[in-house]
Amino acid sequence: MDFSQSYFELFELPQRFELDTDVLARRYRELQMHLHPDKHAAAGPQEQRLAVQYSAFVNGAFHTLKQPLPRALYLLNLAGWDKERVAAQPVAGDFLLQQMELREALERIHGLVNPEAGLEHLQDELAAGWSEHSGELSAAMADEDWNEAAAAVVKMQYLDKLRSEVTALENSLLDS
Amino acid sequence: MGISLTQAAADHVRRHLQQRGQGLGIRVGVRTSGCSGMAYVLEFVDELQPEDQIFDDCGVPVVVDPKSMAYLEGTELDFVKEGLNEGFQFNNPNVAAECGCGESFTV
Amino acid sequence: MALLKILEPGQTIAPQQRRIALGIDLGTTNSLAATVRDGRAEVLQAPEGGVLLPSAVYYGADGLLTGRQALARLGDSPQNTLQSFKRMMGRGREDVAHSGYRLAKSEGGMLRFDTAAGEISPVQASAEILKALAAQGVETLGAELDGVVITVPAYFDDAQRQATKDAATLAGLKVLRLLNEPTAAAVAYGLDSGQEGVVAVYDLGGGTFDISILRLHRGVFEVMASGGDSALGGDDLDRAIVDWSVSELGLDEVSDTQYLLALAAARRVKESLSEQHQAGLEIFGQALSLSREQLEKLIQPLVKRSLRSCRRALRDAGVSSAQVEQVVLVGGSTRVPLVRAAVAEFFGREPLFSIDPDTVVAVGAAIQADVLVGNKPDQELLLLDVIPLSLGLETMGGLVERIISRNTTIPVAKSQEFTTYQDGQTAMAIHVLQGERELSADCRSLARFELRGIPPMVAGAARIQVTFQVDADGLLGVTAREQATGVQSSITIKPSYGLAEDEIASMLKASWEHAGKDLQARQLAEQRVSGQQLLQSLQNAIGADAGLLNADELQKLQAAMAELGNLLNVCEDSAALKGAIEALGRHSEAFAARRMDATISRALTGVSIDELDAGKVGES
Repeated sequence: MDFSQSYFELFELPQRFELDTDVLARRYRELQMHLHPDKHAAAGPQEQRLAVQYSAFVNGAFHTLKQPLPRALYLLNLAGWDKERVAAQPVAGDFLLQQMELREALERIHGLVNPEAGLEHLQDELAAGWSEHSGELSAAMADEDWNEAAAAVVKMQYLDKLRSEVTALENSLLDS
Repeated sequence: MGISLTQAAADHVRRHLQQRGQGLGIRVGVRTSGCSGMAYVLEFVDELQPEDQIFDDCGVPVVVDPKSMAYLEGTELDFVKEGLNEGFQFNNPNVAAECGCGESFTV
Repeated sequence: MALLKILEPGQTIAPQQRRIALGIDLGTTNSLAATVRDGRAEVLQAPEGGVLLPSAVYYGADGLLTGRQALARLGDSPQNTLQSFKRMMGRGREDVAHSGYRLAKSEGGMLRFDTAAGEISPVQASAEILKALAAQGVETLGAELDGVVITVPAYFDDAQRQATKDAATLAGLKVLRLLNEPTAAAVAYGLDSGQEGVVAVYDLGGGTFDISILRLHRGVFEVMASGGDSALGGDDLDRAIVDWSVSELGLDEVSDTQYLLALAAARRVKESLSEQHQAGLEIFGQALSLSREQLEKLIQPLVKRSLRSCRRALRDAGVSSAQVEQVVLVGGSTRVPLVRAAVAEFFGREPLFSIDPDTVVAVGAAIQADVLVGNKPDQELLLLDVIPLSLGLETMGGLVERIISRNTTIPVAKSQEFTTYQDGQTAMAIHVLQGERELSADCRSLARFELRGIPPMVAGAARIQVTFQVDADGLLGVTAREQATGVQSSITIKPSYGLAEDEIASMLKASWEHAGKDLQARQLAEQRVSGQQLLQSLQNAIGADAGLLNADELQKLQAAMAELGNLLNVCEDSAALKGAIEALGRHSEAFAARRMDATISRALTGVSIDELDAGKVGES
């Protein structure tokens, strides 16, 4: 297997942001049905080792393309934008301001009489932000406007980070 | 009786022997084992064993050891194409049952 | 009927016999084995009757006993009658709060029991259970085993998995795969019912709790998330009963020996209370009575703990409990009525337990073992499992840099670049960790290794790529390479809580000598088998794909095969054979790669045709 080929080439899909995840999933399953180490368990050790490498590559490719954020980062990477360059893309000041407000809201939740309601409200805001910026991302990707795409990615990364913190807080509330 | 080859089989054996550049003919036989008991042997022959029987009227020499002969009496070796696959096939009148994989049989 | 090719003289290998494989459920309390015969999975009968072999090993001065015979010695020799050692696999002394056993005073590394037969690690005790089950398999099936699938809790970390694999090595077994217990149960249920959709498997065993959320789709069992607690199980319910008895009787101090005996009494009363509403127990030499209601109050916190893991697993899987179409109960502890009721309430549906929760895991393992050993090459069954806990490295300030996140589908490989922080630095210490916490001190230490031979450069100039690869057993391998110079640095891994390779080798030698058998003869026989298997698999490969080789390559490969075939008959030196087998393996590597590539294009061609039929191609 050519490990330098792009994930899109691997699944024989056009290299673009919009993709049919059903087709992707079907091709993924079909590849694993043949490549997974379990399918080569009775073979020689070389074939087994190759099966692990191939199968790992296919897993990595599938999970990258399946989700919009990793897929966008991957496409940016193919366009010459490494992680550092994406991260350095400036985002608008009002977005950052809004992020700070959301963070403050997160920190206040512990003190609330009804923390569940506070969490729910926060989650709604995050979901709204997510869908707004993924719309921006789709549009920028379709136009191959990498600057705009990178800016949208950075915003989504902010939201993603915040979302995982909300989840962690929710877990700790449930556990207490 | 004994063993026979179809025209297609004989042609292919001859071609393989030419490609290989050496060999007295082919050896057919059976070996015990497999999920239903026995399996076919199909190999080139470079050396004859003292008790080998040789069938010369097939177009190419066919060598069989006496133990295998008991199971192969009347067998015809054919060469067939199935889709993209091609290869030799034993048509053996003695076969009572074949295993699913087609590589072994009982008599 | 298979079409044959003319082979070189002497190259006909007896066609594959139907291979013999076992699925083994190596449990905390009980273990058992199953196999597939005549197309049906069946559980093996234990020699002492029943199907369950108690996971107990007696290490006395007067010999070694397993199963019920070992348990019979609990009364007179509790410290030498080891039980629940599965919970201590890959664990250090400091991890185990109160086992009741005398532990050896060794510093660091995996804990060891101090018995009349010497210091015994949990790995050795597990190996004895595996040996007993394997012997039972050989006896029942009348043939040597070609391989086994051993199940492990989905939530087992790398150290616990590696310890399980080491136990199999000590028992002289070939492990086809370590399979997660809930996944095995899903296979047993899924294949039985042709179920499709999202399934939750709730597995409360003797010592561990697992929850797995799977999606079943046309023979593919895709684990979406798994979670659990590798220190929560029926044992803890027993402990709760013992602790209650201690306070009820107003006892101040309880000796370890009394404690071990009390646990056995607690287990009995717990089991009776699954059937009855009130039961008496003889504990610490006194009589007590316990009602089901009281028991439920005692174990409520433990059940709640398991439901928290369920909630988290659902979230990780990105599904709601309403989307779960079926809930499967596994493990003897799910017989407790409170557990069943709590699970039913949490998922909002009655759970399935139509297959005996004690045997379902072994049955699933047997089905998978039959496929992996090569008896069913065309079986449309694929298990896509995940890694239960994140893997990472310790970085500056004791923080963890995560490399692979939990619930990533395995096998997986990921790399990350690191650099040096001092001028001229030529070595780098790497500490591998597993867990979800941010500080390395809060995660489990898996191994430390040192990377040497980094060419001296200014600080920050070296680019060291560290690659984590997790195989289909969920086991981690780490490699490191300096990118600028391409130096593959030498690595020595010291497992934090495992056995080093030479320790295993010497234990293996000792156990064979103890049994009065010849290890050398055994190793030679093993090499011969693996040589035959390699020749067989190459023979099959040539039969199927000779077209991928040109005449010259084919001839060279066949000559190399003939050479090994000859060596297998005459060579008496297992090390030399091993070398020859490896050499042929390397020789055939390019062929193996071409075959795999051909497989890929065939696989995608097949899909494209399906999509054409469905009129979907090119549209997205």
